[in-house]
Amino acid sequence: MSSASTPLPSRARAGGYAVALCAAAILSTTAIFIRYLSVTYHLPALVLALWRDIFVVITLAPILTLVRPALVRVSRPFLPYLGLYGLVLAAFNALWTLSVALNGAAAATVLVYSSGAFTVVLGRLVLRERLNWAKAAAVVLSLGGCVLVSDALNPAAWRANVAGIATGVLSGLSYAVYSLMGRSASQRGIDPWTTLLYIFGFASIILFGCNLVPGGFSRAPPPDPASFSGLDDRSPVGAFSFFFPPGPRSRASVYTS
Amino acid sequence: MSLARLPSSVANLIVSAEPAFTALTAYLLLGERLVPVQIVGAVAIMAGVVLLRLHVAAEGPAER
Repeated sequence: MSSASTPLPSRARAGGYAVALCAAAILSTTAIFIRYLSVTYHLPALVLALWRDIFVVITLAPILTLVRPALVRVSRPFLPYLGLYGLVLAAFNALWTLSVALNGAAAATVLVYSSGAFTVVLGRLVLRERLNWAKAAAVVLSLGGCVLVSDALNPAAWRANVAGIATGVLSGLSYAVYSLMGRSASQRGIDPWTTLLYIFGFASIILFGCNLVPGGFSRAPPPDPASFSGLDDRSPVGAFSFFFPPGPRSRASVYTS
Repeated sequence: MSLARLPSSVANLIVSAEPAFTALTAYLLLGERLVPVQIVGAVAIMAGVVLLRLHVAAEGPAER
C-alpha cells in the first residue's frame, strides 16, 4: 500500500487509473448479465437474486475455511444483527434485480446510485449526522435525478410502470440502509469477510424461502418487446459476473468507511 | 489493486463511472436507449455522487 507522504511514480498511478476503470467496467456487467438473463430466458428476478447470493457463499466459504478459518466463526451475540443485515441484503438484491428487469440495466444502475442521497438523509434522521451545503446539494441533485430517470413526473409512467418506479427508488433506499448497517457492523468489530459470508448466507436462506412461496413472488416480469431490439446471442459478457458479490460491495466502501 | 496505486478518493470517483459503462454496454449489447430526460437525471445523480465523494475526500478520515 502506498502512503500519502510517498508519491508514487506517474507510471504506477497510470496503472492505478487503468485498474480502477477496469473495475468499473467489470462491475457494470452485472446489470447487463441480469438483464440479458431476465429478458432472454425470463428467469424470475428472485431466482436470479437467490443464485447470485448462493454463488457468493459457495465461493467465499471454502476460501475462508482454507485460508483463514477463524473468519468463518462468529460470536453468537452477533448472529441476530447479521441475520437482520442479511434480510436487508436480500431485500436490496431482490429490489435491484427486479429493477433491472423492469427498468433496464442502465436506468436501474443509475437509480441505485441515488443511495448516496438516502444515506445522507438517513444519517441525518437516525444518526443525527451533520448536514452541510455539499451534502444538501448532493441530496437535491440525486433525488431530483432519481425522479427524472424513473420518469416519475409522467403520469403515464405511473400507470405503465409503477412497479419499476417503486423498485428503482426502493433499491436506492435499501442500499443506503445496507451501507449504514455495514458501517455499524464494522464498528461492532466484525471482520468484513465474516460479515460478507454471513449476510450472504442469511440472504440466500431468506430468498430461498421467498422463492418457495406459491404464486406471486417468483414470477418472471412480462417481457418488454422494445428491449429485444438489439438483443441477440452475441453477448460476450462472461459468466464470471455472477461470481462477484453485487456491485454495492465496492460502493459501500465510500459510504461506510 | 487500484487502491494500492491511487488515493481511495480518486479510485472511488473512477469506479463511479460504473453507470456510464452500464449505459454504454446496454446500448451496444441490449439496444437500451435512455431518453433525453433520463440522461439529464442520470447526470444529476452522478453529479450528486461526485459531490459527495469529493466532500468526503476533502473532509478526510475524521469525517468518515
